[in-house]
Amino acid sequence: MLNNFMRYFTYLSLAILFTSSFLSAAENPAEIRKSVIRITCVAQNPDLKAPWNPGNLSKGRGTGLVIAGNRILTNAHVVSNSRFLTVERDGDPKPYTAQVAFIAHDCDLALIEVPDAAFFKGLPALTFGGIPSIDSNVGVYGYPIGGDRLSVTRGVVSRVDFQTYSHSGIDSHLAIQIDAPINPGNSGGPVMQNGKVIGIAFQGYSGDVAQNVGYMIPVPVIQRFLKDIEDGSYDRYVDLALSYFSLINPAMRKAYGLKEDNLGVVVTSVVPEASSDGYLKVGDVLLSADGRLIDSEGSIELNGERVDMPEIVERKFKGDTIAMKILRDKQEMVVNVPLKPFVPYLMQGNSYEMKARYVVFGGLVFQPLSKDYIETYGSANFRIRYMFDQYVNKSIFLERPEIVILSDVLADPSTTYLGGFRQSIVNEINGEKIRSLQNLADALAKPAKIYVIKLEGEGRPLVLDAAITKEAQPRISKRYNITADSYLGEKN
Amino acid sequence: MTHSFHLLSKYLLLKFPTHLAFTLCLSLLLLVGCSPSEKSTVTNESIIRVNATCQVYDPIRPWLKRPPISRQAIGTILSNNRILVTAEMVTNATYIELEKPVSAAKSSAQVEFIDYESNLALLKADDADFLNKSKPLEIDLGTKSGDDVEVWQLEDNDSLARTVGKVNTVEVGPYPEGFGRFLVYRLNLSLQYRDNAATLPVVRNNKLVGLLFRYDGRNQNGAVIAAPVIAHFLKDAADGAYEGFPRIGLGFSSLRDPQLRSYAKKPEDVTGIYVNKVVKGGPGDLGGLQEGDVLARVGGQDLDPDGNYIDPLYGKTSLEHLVSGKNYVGDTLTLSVYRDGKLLEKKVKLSRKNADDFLSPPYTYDKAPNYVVYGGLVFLELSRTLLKTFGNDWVSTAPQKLVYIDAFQDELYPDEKRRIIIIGQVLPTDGTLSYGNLSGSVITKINGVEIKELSDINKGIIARAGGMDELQLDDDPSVIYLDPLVVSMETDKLQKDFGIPALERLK
Repeated sequence: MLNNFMRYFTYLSLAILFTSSFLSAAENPAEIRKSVIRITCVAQNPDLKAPWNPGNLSKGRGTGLVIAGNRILTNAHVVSNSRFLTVERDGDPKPYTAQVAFIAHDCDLALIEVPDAAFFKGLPALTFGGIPSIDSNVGVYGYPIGGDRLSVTRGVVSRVDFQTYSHSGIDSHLAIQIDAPINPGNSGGPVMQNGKVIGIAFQGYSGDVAQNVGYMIPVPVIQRFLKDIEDGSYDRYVDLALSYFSLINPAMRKAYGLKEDNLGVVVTSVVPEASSDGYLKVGDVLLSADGRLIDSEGSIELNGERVDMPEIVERKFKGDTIAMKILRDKQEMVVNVPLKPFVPYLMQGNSYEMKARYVVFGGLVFQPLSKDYIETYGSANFRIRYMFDQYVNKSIFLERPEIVILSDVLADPSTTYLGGFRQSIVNEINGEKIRSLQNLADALAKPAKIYVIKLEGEGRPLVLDAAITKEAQPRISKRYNITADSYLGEKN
Repeated sequence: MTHSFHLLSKYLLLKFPTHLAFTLCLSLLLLVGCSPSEKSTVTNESIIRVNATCQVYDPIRPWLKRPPISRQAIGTILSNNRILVTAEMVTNATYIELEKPVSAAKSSAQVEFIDYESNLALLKADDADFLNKSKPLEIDLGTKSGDDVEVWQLEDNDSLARTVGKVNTVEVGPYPEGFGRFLVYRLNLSLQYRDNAATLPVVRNNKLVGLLFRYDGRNQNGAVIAAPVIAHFLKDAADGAYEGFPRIGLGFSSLRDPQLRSYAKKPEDVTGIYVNKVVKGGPGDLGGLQEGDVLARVGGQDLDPDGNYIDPLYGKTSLEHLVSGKNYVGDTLTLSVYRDGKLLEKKVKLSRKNADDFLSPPYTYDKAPNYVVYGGLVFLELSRTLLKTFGNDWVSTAPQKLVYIDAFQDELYPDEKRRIIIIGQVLPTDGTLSYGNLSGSVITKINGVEIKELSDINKGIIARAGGMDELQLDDDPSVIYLDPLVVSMETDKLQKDFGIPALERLK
């Protein structure tokens, strides 16, 4: 039951912490435990091998905590793709039905609501602390594997650093490493210090990779999430969408006319049409961000800790600006960069809450390329791998918002000779460029005698006789139990 | 920053050595005493032991040669006192020794001709009289499936061991180099393991019909370089200038699909294949073929929808043998194609693209790799040999950008003959501080000079205008700098510390 919480990245299992440092007056485990909630989620995950099916059900368990306003905070991965959600209080056998109010996959946080107000009776709301200092004591509260009752483990803060959040696989934020044991089921539970929540346990290494390494989402990330949803919707993180290179090498410093002061990094790429495009250029040396000096490895000082420069962007919202002091052509200047979320990279991350999108035409199944696609079908095909890897780096997204793939050819008399085209990227149909699944659906909806489908790197076109295909479609749908011949997403 | 954009692409250092080039030619499993070999009274004056010591340059540190390994084989003596072995046997050989059975007389030898693709090499003894009393074997071109053949080995006591096997199949298949497909005899036989393993003659009626180059002991199957391939190699070499098997520069796909057939406007009464690729500047291109043509006949032979012709000896046989196996560089072939339903006869003059002519050469043997070391950066030419140092799974483990260049090389610079130059290794020095992750990066310009081959590195350095060398990379970062003063100060120490005898090798 717990194991689907462990299906995250190979070595990352999820955990939660809760603790008090020594029993100070402010921290009473008997009080805290009341507000630590057990969450059971039945999720339905799309099946890209049969995208017309609703997907397989899985059940998992995690932890949540009660915060002000009768709301329960937990990890996004505890309640992702949920179809049925229940919550239980410590010592109360009754499960209450709950629902997801907000979910943020980029920072692995979610807020759930319980329609029955009786659930919150006698449950005090936990309050937040700040960033704990290294080597201070913490306690992790939750419902991990190993029993049914509340569990508490204890440890110290080991490190404060940027980490990849494995739920999406592509987002990095501040995370705090602790050495208290975190196990599957701890996910979403509070990490406590002096009676305050200082983080939410969410991921860790399994024992065969690293010992006693668990991570929690720190308060700045949690508070950013809570602030973002105040307007009733979650807008995602904003991103400078650029890459930079350290300026440690003396020749690099000399070439950019920098002093021996160990400050500054150089911009090495700017993603077109994203936040920095038009404001910052390749070759600009970034000297400070909102007045905070950037060192030659790209770190700034924030709340007494050295953190990666992007952390300052992390705390901002859509529409905010950041003041970058830069050196351009050896001239210092300040550039105010308006910030917005960067969407194209989502293709390279895990996706949730989405039904599989596809088109079935005759025996041909078309789907857009995504991380889930690569995980389902593998990536033996060079051209698909290239498109996936280089989608952002080579700005492929400008030309092709979606990479459409002929994912499968269903065996039928009309497709006998087409099997060799499986796993090909669709470039053109009857002369029209295919830049999205919608394009493909439109092109195939146009009446024609034949459909000539050109595929990336394939000299031979795939030729479909429209009459033969039309005749085959109902037969194929019946044989393969295809309930709908396409799903293109919710209509706007 | 919601994604890990600021992380620089981190390539693994190009330094995982494997011994791919050394893979032994035969995977002989021990099969003790169960083979139906018979002793022959025929003396063994047509074969000879060949011992080769092979050493390969380290592709990543090309100033070094890797430790020597040795290979043994049975060579076949042909007319003019030449000895035939597989190319694999003598690839990267630094010393070859011949040893006569019984007398154990020895002579050193040289490789006279070698063709890595068809896996054949001809050796010549340094002692001109060494083979005077031998009995050269003739070549028998008539072997077909169903025939019994003998594989010849030498016993420890130097008597000849002949193991009989049956030719199951004659087909066009891949050869060890994986580049080009040639005629193969597939044998069923139970072969006893003997020391001299790597190349064994296959004989019928005392004539050579092929060389065994693979043996699978578990399934008791052998693969043999077929006599027509050997004859082609010998004939090509006869004039002293070896050119190799010709190519046509076309790609094909089957025309079994009726929907594609009608799209291609193939007349009902002919069969043929669909031309799906025309290599720019290749023979097919120069001969006027186009993508979408239906190729129906080659040199007067009809093709079936899968690209086979009917060979008088072997029956259905792939077109590749008809084009490459039966013709030579410079020969002209007549191709009958249907374009928009109309018959066109096209004359195609066959030529060849040598390994060196590729953007990323598919193989590089018997040659010291070129390199340039400048300021702790080791510049190398991209080749598949270099990528293969990442091991058998190099396609996944080598830097992906380089794998893509290798895979899509036909499409990258179709009109240019050039190389891709990469930073193969970053030697840690003060000058390369923080550049450690750049191994595997492609270098595009130095001081504004485009880098299309290794010698351009020096041209770029000479072109320096300011105080710094500016290196442009197809990577992130796209520009790095070296301080020429630091480079010149560090060079002696660099050479001494890392044991680099010369800073460059350029041919």
